[in-house]
Amino acid sequence: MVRGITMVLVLIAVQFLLVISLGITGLSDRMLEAVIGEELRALRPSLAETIRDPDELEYALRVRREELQTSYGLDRPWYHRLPEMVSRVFTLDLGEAHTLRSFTGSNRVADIVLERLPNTMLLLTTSLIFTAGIGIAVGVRLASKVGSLSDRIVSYFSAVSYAMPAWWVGILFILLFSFRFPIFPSGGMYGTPPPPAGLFRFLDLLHHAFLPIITLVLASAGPYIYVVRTMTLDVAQADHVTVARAKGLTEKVVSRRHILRVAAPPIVTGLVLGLAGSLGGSILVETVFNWQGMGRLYYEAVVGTPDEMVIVALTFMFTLIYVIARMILEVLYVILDPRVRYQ
Amino acid sequence: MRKRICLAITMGLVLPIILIAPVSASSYQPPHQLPGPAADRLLFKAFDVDRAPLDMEAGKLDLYIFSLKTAAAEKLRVDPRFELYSAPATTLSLVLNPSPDPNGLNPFSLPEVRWAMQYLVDREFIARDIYRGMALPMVSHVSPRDYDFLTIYDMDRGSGIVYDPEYARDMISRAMIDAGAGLEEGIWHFQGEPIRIRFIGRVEDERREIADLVRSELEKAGFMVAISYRPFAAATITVYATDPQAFEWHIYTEGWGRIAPQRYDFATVNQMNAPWLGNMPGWLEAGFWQYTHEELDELGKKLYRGEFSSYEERNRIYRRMSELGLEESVRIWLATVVNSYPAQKNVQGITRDLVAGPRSPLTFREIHVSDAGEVTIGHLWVWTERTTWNPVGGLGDIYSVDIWRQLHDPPLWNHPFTGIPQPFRATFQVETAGPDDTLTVPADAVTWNTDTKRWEEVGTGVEAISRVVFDYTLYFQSNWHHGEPINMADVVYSIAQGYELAYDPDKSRIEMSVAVTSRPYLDTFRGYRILDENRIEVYVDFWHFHEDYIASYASPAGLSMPWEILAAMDEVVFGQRRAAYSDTAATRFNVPWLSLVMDRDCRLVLRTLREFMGRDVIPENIFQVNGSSLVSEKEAMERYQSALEWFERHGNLVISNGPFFLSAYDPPAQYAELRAFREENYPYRPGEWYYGDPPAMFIDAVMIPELVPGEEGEFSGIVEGPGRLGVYYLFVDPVTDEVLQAGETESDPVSGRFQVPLDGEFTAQLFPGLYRLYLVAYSDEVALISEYRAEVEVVP
Amino acid sequence: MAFMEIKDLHLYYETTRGPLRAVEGFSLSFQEEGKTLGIIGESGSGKTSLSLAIMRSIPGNVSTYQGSILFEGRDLMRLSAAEFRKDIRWKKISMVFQGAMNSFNPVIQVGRQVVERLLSGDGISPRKAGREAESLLETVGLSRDVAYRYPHELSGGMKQRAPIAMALYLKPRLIVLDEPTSALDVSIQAQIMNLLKQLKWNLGISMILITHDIALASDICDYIAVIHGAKLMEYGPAENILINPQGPYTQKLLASIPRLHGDTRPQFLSGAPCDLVSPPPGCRFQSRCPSVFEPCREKEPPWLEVAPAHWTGCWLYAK
Repeated sequence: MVRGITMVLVLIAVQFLLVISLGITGLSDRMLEAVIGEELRALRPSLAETIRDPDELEYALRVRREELQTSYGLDRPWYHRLPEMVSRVFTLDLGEAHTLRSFTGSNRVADIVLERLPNTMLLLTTSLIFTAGIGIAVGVRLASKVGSLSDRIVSYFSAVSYAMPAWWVGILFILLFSFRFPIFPSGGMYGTPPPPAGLFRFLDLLHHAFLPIITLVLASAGPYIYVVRTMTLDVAQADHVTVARAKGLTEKVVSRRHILRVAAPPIVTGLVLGLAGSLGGSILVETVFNWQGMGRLYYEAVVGTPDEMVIVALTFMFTLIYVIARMILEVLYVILDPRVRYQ
Repeated sequence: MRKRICLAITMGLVLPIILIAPVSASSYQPPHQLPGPAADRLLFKAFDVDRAPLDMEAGKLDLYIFSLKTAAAEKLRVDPRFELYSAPATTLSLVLNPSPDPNGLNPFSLPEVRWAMQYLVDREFIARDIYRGMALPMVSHVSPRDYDFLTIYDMDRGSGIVYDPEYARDMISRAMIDAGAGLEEGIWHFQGEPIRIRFIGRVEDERREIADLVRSELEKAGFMVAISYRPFAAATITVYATDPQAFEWHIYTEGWGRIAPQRYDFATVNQMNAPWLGNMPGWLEAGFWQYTHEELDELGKKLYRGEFSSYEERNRIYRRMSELGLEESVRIWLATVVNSYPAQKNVQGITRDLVAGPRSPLTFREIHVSDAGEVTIGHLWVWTERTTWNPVGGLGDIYSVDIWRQLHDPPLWNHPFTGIPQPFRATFQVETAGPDDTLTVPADAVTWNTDTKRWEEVGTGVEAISRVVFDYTLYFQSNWHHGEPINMADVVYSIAQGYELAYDPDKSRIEMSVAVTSRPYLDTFRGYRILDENRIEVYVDFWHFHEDYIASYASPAGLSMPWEILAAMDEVVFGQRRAAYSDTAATRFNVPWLSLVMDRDCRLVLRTLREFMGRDVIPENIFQVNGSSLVSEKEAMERYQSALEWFERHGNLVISNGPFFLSAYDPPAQYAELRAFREENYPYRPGEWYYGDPPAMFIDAVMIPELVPGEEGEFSGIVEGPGRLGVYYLFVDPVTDEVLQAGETESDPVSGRFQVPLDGEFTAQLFPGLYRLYLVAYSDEVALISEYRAEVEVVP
Repeated sequence: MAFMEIKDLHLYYETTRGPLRAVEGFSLSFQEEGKTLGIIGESGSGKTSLSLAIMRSIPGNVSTYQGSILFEGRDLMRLSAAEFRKDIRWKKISMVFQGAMNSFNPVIQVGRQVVERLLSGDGISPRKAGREAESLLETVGLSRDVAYRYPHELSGGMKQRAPIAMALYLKPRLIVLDEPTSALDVSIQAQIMNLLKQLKWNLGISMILITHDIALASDICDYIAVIHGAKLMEYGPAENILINPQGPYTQKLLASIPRLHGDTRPQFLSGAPCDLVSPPPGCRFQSRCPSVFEPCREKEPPWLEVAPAHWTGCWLYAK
């Protein structure tokens, strides 16, 4: 109950901070003005071709400027504009993007997100599932064999994998499996020409997803294995594990019930939070592979043309996802670890 | 006379790329003679700019029309498998903050210091090293690739501006000391405080290195430099949104995109030098300190309004403005950066447009790869969130425009090598009474009255400066993509639509930016007359000493889409209020920004067409001109039906008349497919619009004798090139940088020989030593120049 | 045939300084079934390692593990891990570990863990298993509902009894108990000891009780083995050892126990047990033995029967 309230407070606090950082600092206003300024600067010479009266030209530019300002919401101060956006998202109305559009031309943020989310999920959530699977399977095995040769080999690999940035691995893979050995496409989501809607289109998408997924798995599997190994190591050294073995239980049972099950809470925490986070996409990997996912969306909203509604909506969405993930974890924790149950 | 061996320094290192060994049009073999374009299909696909070279090596694309980065371009330039096409893209300048500091000393408020900056930057280094040769140094706001370079040639080359840091430091020294500053431990101090210069350097590209370069020069000249590397938004805010007297910036690296350089420029020279356009420090923002210059403003407005009566007068104004701009040195010009577009060696049909490089529509209708009927074109994106296809308020980004251009034939187009408008699918005849006189507009000429919604005769007493007759035969002999005939109705609707957008009070309130930007233009039109089924006569208040520009100004309709699509869109936007033409209107009324490649938007238009069909609607009165109707009900219904069928077949409503039509458009896949439009009566066949490379032009066999003061002399040479050639020369004193003599001469049309005599009076003022001679060849058939530099020895 | 015969059991751990010899040549004959053998020694003398060695529950860093344990006509050391697990582990020999608090998996109910072995293997129904768990827990004096509690919900004494129930589950012939009462207060200690005695009398289970608490050992053990420095010092019937210890170490050990009556003060042994990585040649007690003389430092003492079924390893008794 208390936790629930805390989470809602978190939601509110994050939005508040966002409004402050965008509004009070004047950052948002100035960036939008800068964008408007640039557009006008580019407009001037092309208008000059048809408007030969300097005063008319200035008038036309002035009107355009005002129009743009209204359109960006700059005719109202930030403390009207931003809080209104925030209160909209709290009613789960994600609003309209100013400049960003979905593939079908809709500017409703909900539409844009719904379009991009599956792309991101295909890449990140899938690779997270693979990573987690590999991580748990290998990590638990290693925890039982601490110090052995396989443990050492995998630990070195983990360190290397942790050090390799995903985007770099991605570029490497593209060079290798796309150019050197033309097996996989070098980027994008569909080929040229793209298959029309249907099974083939989906298969084409999978074909294009292969390299990014492998990149992500490779770059994160290592550290994940190592983390699981460390988490289970503690448990693996525990007395009850020795007892379990002495009891004559098979190694499989020991591993599953007495090691993994006990180490489950932190592993599950990492997994659930990771899943929640994966919905936010990965800017770098999506850029390297030319995928239009959530990471790029956020990036475009912030850096491209500052699109306040999208920033507010996405921030809210990500925070909400995190909050929901935490709540799920609360429930899971109680199920997994009886020690934290209240009387 | 001893012949001196002189160095021929062709302009920059880039001209060799541009003026490649002449490929005459006759050596280009079109692959077939079917009507329409050379290729059967154009596939547009997105390729990331860093991967494009690799993708090109892997054969995944044939031509990439987004500029490669410098390093990648350099690598491909020397690779024999590829061809690199270039076009001037960005001009770079340093803008100095000239405002006076009430509490201290701003070095750039001193004109001498600003002038010294011209000598403090090493433009050659920037062009040669930072941009690896893919840039041309600039001294004035006119680049060597601009048409007006010849107009101010002597000012530019004769300015004497070279990289001379010592000389610059000297000048700075004297100016600073005069202003009351003193040098302490190598740093300039004023009233006890060290003078700090805030340098804003853009970080996203090579401008960063330029900033470093200039900063070190400034430091060597004794200034403390606080350099701040900023990306676009932060830099723009600092420089363009603050009061110059707040001194948040003293110097900034600017970059300007070249959109559509004019042959007879009137906008750029104003933008870069004259305060009235709001592009000089102060930016005409209320409350800021403003840079002012009366003469520049006065001349600038005159030039802009076209208040001159001859080419010579125009040049005089232009020269004076450039001269003042150079003197004031508020902007220090650095270089013109060239964009590089790679293509596979086996791609044929590319025209090297001086402005657009390979991106001109002339290229795409001729492009083909050996026998394959398919050409894959790469761009950075095919679709971005701002890509919206509607001909009124959309099609604003290069990703849509670069595709759209291949889908419609414009009435006029600029010649790729001279930049002058010429007839394309429409021909024209100009008659003008300007600049001082006027013509009478016939009483039965009409304009569209937005109140009565009719074409109304202008009546008697109306005058106009010029009259242009447009002949659309080449359009009307063929059909739109969907099979319906192109006819005068399309022209008439387009004109009426323009008036509606500009003057109808409701519509202009809804689509404000469209209205406001088109009104001043339409205000100058006085009347229209349909002469026959192919020709329309336009009366307009516009004059230019070059008639083709009058035609270009007066072209009444773009003829890019059939009237039924325009009518349906108008109904959706203004009648149903369910979409908008422009982005600002879309945001204001919370409706989609109408895009004819988007399924949902198309369905809105389709539904309207069906309604038209169902209720037998033809746009009221638009087609009633001078008592007769241009469109029958039957024709209208047929057209609506064809549009519907088009959408069924292709999923979009981009119906036009160009060599290609849009057969597929897939935003998530970043893919677009264009198919050849092969209709029997389409007027063009492959090869007709191929220009290839601009003709080469060069000066050769120059003979310069030694000169003796007081005696006559002559230098001569041969100039080769297309058309009518001329040679312009400068004789410069190397010490004072003074232009001692400048002039022009024509060459013999047969032998190409030219000579310039120097009389005794002139040579008498020379002293023994070496003088500089600049020779420039120019032609009326190509807007490039060819330079030749030499030294002349004067012996006692 | 002896109930269990241990011959020459060695267990060395791998350390950075070299192998740590935790169990050195241990040989012992546990003659009768249904008796309790006590193994006494100081901390660090290798008692726990011995228990682990007997159970074949050795940790991963073992370098040498050899010897033979004859039991039920088989050498347990020769059996494969699978065979040992199937036939012997928990079925014939089970163990109650030191620090029994932590014998249980914290997230699984106690009852499930008590009957876990059968649950996972031979597929008896969960309900039947539950009833079995309840009755086992009752046997060790706990209430039936403990089966459905979690380990952290049990008190100290309960936590000590539950592992015993767990060890009893498959009705083994031998239970090894490592310090079963070391961390408990005295009253609970007494309860546990009573429980063990009951099990011994009622169920006839043989036990090996490892402890440093001699008083405890005297309470229940029939035989006592004294260990020092990973080697067996003395072995014999409990009475003999306690009343008439022969070996100097045992004597010193017993002398250190405080007496309730009388004036004698407990004596203490100076020094520390020898280093098990590089033990000195000869007797392991040489550095602290009051009766040390030459041969002690040179060769290991012989194992001699100094009284019927009473053995000592000391040069004093060599002829």
